[in-house]
Amino acid sequence: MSDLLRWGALAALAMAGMGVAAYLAYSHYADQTIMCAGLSGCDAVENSEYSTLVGIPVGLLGTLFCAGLLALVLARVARLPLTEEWAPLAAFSMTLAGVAFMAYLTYIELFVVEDICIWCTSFAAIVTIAWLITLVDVLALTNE
Amino acid sequence: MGRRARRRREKRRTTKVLVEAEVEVAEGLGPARERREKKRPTRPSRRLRYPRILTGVAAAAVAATILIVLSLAPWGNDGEATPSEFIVPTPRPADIPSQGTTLGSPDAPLTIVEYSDFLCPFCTDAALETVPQIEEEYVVTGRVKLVWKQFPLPQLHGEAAIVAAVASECAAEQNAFWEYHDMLFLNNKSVTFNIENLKRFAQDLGLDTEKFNVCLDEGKYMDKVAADYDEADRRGATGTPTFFVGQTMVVGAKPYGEFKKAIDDELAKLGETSEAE
Repeated sequence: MSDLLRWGALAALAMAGMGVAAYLAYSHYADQTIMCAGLSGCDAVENSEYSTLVGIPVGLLGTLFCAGLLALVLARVARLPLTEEWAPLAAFSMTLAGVAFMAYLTYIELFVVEDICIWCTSFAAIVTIAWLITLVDVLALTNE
Repeated sequence: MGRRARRRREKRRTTKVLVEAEVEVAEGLGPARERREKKRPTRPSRRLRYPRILTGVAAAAVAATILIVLSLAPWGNDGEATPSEFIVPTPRPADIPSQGTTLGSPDAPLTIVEYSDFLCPFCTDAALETVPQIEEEYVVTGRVKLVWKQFPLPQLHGEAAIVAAVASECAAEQNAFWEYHDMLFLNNKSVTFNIENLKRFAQDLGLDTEKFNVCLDEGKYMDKVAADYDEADRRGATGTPTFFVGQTMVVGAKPYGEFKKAIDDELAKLGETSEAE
């Protein structure tokens, strides 16, 4: 996968993640029922005490996370100073933290709330794919 | 010869090196070499690259740990549960006696048995619209007592119907069945009946949550729910809600008028029977 293609894919994933998370944040603030593709778990997850972090809805945190990732990708594509050297590692660290936190939230969904929200699962999948893409760069760095 | 000849040779070699260096500088090769060396990419050694990646992993681990710890920390509520977003029912008048899943005076001449499911839409209509009118006109006055029996239909309403039935029996254990019954019907359209929410209902109603949670986790009243279900089956109930007003079977969320007629007829029959006795 070429360098540009990888960063392009990361940008697309960041935008998709931002869309999903922004919808969850909007549903939280607008107090609206989440469209759940015929499944039942979204409201249970959304109403759970784990849906906020220090009072901030996790949907909003997800939006900010994806906005940060997108900004990093754009900076790297624009070849801003230092990004060539540091952006791959920063993207790797960000998405790894995202994967770890999403793994924790998925555990909470499955074993505490006992319901799965399709939006949260989609977000987890997006972050995981993004992390795998950043892993390519980091592994290349170790194999040089 | 030895020593002098050697000194001369060394002097010639040193002079040659110095001359070559002067020539290189004069021809501008020195700076060119410097530029070449500068251009060559300086890759960090493997020894240096690994710590950098490890730093990235460590940073991610620290960030994820902070997020998880923050998500577990109580926020602005001093360790209490988050304020309820559930619809909390209005308490019934204290003078209506209730025992277990029975509401009304034990001495009431007529008994209405309701076989119902907390997740069935028709049961919800009956519970929120018709039954309160029966309570007001007949239960408060001591002429009728209502008995709830569990008739969960998982094939229609999912496993949550059974779990909600067990939870309501756990509330009945604390003599709070009817409050819990109202809580379930008021919230069944907006809240998923999972273990967590069923426990939060109990908490919001001020029940002994420790006792309630153990009861629900153990599925303490599964057998009672199954027995009620079998009883409904034996009595010929095929759908929810099914009411037995005395001996009269009323199926579905019928208008109050239909219930009133059935109740009055049964009360009249009882009156005749009592008089006959």
